[in-house]
Amino acid sequence: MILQALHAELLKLTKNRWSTFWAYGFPPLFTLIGGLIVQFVVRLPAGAEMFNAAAPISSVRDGLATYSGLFLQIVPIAGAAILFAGEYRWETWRAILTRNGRTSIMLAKLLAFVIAAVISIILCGLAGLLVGLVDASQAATIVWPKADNGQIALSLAMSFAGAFLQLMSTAGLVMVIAVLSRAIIAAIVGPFLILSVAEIASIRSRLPDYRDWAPLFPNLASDAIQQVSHSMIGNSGATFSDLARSAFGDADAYAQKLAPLGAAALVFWAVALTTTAIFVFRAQDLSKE
Amino acid sequence: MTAALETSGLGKSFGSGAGAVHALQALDLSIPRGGVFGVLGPNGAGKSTLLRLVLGLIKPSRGSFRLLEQEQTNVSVLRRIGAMIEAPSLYPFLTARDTLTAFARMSGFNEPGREAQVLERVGLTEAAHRRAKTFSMGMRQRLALAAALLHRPELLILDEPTNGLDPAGIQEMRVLIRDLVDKDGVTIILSSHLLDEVEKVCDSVAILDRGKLIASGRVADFTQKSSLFYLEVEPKNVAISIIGNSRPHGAGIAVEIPRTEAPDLIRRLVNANVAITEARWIAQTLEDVFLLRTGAAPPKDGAP
Repeated sequence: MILQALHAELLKLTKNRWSTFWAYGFPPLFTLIGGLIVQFVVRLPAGAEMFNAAAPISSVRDGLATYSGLFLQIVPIAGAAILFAGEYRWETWRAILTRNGRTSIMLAKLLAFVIAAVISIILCGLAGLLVGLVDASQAATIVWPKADNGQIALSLAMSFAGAFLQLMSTAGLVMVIAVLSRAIIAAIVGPFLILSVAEIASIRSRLPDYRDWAPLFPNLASDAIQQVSHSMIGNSGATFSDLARSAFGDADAYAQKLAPLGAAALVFWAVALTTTAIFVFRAQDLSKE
Repeated sequence: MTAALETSGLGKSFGSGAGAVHALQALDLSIPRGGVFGVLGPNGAGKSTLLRLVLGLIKPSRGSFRLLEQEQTNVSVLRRIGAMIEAPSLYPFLTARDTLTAFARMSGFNEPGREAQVLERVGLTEAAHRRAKTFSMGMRQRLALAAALLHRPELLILDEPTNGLDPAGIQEMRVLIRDLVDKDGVTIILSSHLLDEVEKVCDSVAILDRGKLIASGRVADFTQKSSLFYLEVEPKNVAISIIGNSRPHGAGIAVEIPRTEAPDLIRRLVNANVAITEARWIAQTLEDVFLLRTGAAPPKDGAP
């Protein structure tokens, strides 16, 4: 029954083109256009004296990490909100709950988000690749990682996984707020505010007494995974935020320690929040959507 | 005859303590398979609550029900039902055809050409490729009905199905409902505030008021067996005090009594010096029954 519901959800996703574009298509476009603007407006006029080396693989990796910034999280949050709170908005629960089970429909919505998010992250990576190739065509030197193909692939996979897990924990948060609030706008504003507060609160984890809490902050967890991905191909210290680096000294060493815990925490958030949302939804009275 | 729906002490309350709203109170009702069963009642009577309970959208506070002989409302039972509850609920960004495709996929129903068939049946073939957000209320109603019919349900639950339809549309809906019952063998539970509509299309009805079942039975039994006795009398207040359970009707008053009691009633009025200028039997409509049983004015057309 989940596959039947997923089939229906994917149809809605593809037909709701405008919302789907902004939710999952805008970030790759932002990466592409933003990267090209940097190429043609900043790097090209500056000339080879300032920017004489291009690193296409790093550019792909940067593309894959597009969603690590809070600013761009707002778009998948909106996409997830439309998926999880749309039925309340259009009062369509009463039309579909006679056709499929509550848990199946919610899981199908989550799977639809997974598919859209995976495609979006990959497109972000491809946008990064395009920008990297344009950069390479202009630069005097092309820098390739001092790593074999297997390590490069593993590094890119880790970068993808960091972005994906961060998006899934965000999706879980959106799902819970969508079910509790029954409103799209609350499902957008609520998670964005919570993630903003979490990002500000994560600064506190610089202090020695709070350092153990760092993996629980999705932004730090994702940053740590991206940092490990970077260091695997000999590109040290490129991602982890200056703040975290200044707090922990050797960013690579700390990221190596933080990344596995961070990945586990992101999985925990995604599973716990999704399970809570489904549990609440199963018991929810739909006297008025 | 087996029952399409049987409720036993079914109740639903919203909230708790002194502020609780008892939307449905210990309802015992049996709706047989076959035919059209109307659920009548003024606003707040509990009609929509009953239908939402049956469809598993809300959970009962007490009591139980059997739907199509099944104790539990699971998806396998619900997939044998088509439902259209309250205002049509549709995705604004989907065309009529895509709406049906999405619902068919959600149901795991796959019959090529079925979407076109039901669109034709509700008269929306020409609007198949228009988005639902451009539809009038009547068209939305038709599309919601098409969605309810899509998977060939055994039982159709329709809440105010003629809302938003023009007179021609109402007539078409009436014919469609009778066709579904008479030709396709579908059982229909229909809730409506349009009493004349219910009288024309339903075989049996249940009247709810403030969450309680006031009366139920065949429409013919309500309207034929117990006729209204109409009296034009003076002084009216004296007559009313003698008659008891009466209500204004035109220039006079009407009372629901067995025919055998009419001579005695006239005798008592005459003995009390009440002048009777007219006394006759009038056919009782479902609206008359509704007013007598609920003691309320029937909701007007267009009321929620």
